[in-house]
Amino acid sequence: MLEIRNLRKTYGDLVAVRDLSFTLEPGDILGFIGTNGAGKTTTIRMVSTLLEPTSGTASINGFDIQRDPMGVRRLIGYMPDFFGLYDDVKAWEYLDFFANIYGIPSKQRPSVIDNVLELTDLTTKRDAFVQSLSRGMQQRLCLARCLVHDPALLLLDEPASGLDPRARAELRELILELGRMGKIVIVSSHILPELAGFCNKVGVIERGELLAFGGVGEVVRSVQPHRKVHARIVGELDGVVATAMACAGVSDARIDNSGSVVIDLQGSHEDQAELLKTLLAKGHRIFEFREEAVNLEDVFLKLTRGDVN
Amino acid sequence: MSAIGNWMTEQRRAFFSNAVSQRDFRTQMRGKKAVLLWLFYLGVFFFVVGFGYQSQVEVHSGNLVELQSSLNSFYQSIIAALGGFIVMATPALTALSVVGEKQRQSLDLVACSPVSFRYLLLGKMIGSFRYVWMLLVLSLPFTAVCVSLGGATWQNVLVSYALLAAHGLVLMSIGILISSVSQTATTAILYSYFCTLAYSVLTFALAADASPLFSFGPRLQDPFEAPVSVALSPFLAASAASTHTTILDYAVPNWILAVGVCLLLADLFLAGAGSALGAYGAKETLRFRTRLLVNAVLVGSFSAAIYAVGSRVGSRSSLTNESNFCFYIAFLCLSPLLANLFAWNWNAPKRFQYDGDFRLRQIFRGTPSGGLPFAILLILVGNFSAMGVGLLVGIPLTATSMGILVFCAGYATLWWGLTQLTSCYAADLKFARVIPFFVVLLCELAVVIAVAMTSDRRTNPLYTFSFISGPVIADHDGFLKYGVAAAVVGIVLRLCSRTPRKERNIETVA
Ligand SMILES: Nc1ncnc2c1ncn2[C@@H]1O[C@H](COP(=O)(O)OP(=O)(O)OP(=O)(O)O)[C@@H](O)[C@H]1O
Ligand SMILES: [Mg+2]
Repeated sequence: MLEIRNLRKTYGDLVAVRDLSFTLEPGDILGFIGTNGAGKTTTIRMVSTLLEPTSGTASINGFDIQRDPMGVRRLIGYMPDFFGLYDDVKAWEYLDFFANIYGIPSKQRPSVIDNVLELTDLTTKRDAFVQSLSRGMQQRLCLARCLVHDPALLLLDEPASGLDPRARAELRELILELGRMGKIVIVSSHILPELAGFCNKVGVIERGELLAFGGVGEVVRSVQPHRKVHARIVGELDGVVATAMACAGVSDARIDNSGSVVIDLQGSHEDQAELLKTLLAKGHRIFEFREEAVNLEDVFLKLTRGDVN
Repeated sequence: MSAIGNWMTEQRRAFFSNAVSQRDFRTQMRGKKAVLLWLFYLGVFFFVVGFGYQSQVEVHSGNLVELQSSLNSFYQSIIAALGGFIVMATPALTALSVVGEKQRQSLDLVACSPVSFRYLLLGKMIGSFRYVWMLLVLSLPFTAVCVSLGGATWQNVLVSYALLAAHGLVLMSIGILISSVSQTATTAILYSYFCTLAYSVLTFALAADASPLFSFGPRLQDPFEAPVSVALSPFLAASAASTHTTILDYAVPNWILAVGVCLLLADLFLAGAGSALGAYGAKETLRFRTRLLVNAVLVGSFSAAIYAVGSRVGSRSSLTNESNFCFYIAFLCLSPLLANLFAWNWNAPKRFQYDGDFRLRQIFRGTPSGGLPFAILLILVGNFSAMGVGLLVGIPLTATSMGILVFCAGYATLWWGLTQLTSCYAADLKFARVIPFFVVLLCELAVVIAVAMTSDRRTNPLYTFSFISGPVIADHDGFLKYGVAAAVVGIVLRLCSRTPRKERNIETVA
């Protein structure tokens, strides 16, 4: 379990991170969203014991980042927003180096390396020199490096920048898999769609302040209290709008350009079910009835004013 | 029991399966560049050796005895050249070791893994040490020729190589230390060469000063007594190899003592590098500070012993009659570094933020409040070990010795007060550390210039305004008076500076 309590970092007069507090459970995948200079990297570096907090602290499975940094380091895998690769080193040697640093016995290292290479889809590049890998491959190698010691917490600082769409999709799968394995994953990014698919928690940070934190749904609802329901209907539409407007929890209903009815629903899922029932009971021939997927982009733009320190 | 076991495992990992050195080894063995470099080295070495042979051996080809002795000096010049190569190569090998990782930002990756900086630095050290050994091994054919011609013995060759390897360790640790404190590659290379040069010159001067018997050219093969300092110069390994120091009636070979000193120095510099990289309350700081204390003991006792042996075998110079005079000189030379102990700044990392004036508990934490107590502890330890060893080897304790002790402590207090004052106003830590140095330098320069403008220079009363030359030329308790005066000035300076109070962030107040 990761617990962050009042974490704060100041540079002179600049407050880079302002009293951040949140808790994550094993299996949580946190999308850490913020504009440039919002304080994502600073937060992640503090949790990874690289940066001394000005005040406040964090603990991972009971190990405090200030009192017991060595204990914390054994539990975390930190992937920075730069690579930190060595020249003249082969991919497997690079991994072997870190496996050795993390104290994995030399007998187990080959199998560990093969595992992480396979996980990151780099098996064919095992003997390639690090500098000969493409940017995306280097990025995956860095991720592989984070995994050699099977950490409980992964801190990924903008892991998807530089990846092609396929690699991005694979990364998403990989992170989901890591979440299923019971690891805590923090993924920072400012590219929102890439987070939407697989995070179960989001934190929006702006000017060092955590503006919103929680389950994806909660955060979206806090910003955008009504749900959008799209209904597509065979036949006449105006009657549907009228019927919908009369239902409980519906604040607005209109027909959009694609010819479907968009209903703004304030209420719960209960109300949504009621609405569908009513519509059907009134004889409307509905062939599609769906809630619009959460739009983190909107949430983000609403929360952040786009101003940077 | 398990604590010892853990410690053993840790040491085994750091020394024998060090990941950093293994990785460096893999890359070192790669590519044609390395081979070319070694060929180049052999070529240059061959050239240097050939040149030495021409100038020293050929001219004497008539007389067999002369030939023997000139072969010996030829051998000595080979070893000296080897020392020169090591002095030139080590900064190149080590200056970039840490700074390179900083710039590639791979240092962070190691810093957030569960190994100490010491592990990393040791790995770097082991990696570079292989090069030093390569330098030595490749020179073996040349020294072997000397041995077979009768210019040297195998024993001497082995001992010289051991000495050179030890010097290599010290020089490498200096390079790594500089690399750890530097932020850019250029400054790292520049300062490493500068410090290596300074170290070589200093040890050479010490060695040359210590023994009248030392010289190039024809000399005795038999072992003779000389101060340890002859073995401290990388250039004089061959001649130092057959010297010894008499300790309690035992003739202890100087090379053994020198290797010991080198190991301690290397360990000290490595600890310094680790401490420079470490954060608040890091083990490395504790390690570094204890090493400093140990080395103060060594400097103190060695200087007294060297002085005693030197006067027994007829050194060229004998400094004064005080056993702790050498320690005092070393202390004066290193005093500009004192500001590093005391300076603080609110924007700096936690270990450099003001946390009080004088707290014994912080001595090994590396925070500013532990600076002065640590400096005083260092002074006490160094002076008393010099006096103790002095008494053992027959240098009497004088009032001046105690005066020197008081002066050292007072002078440290002066630096402390000055650094406290500058820390209150300096924008960042760097200024807080550097300004006291310039202030002291300017004050001393002012005295020197003032003296230079007057007619009688030797006994000029203006000298009394200098904390450096004042006590030396004053009467026999000059050190005591100046020490007390320096302490008073330091405390007054501290009282003049405003009480350090953490300024709150404007935003927090709002
Ligand atoms: N070493 C430093 N000294 C001074 N200010 C710093 C330092 N490091 C970061 N900052 C400031 O702290 C703030 C937060 O920076 P941070 O790198 O955490 O942002 P970020 O969210 O990671 O941005 P990006 O999306 O661009 O990576 C910025 O305003 C930055 O200028
Ligand atoms: Mg960043």
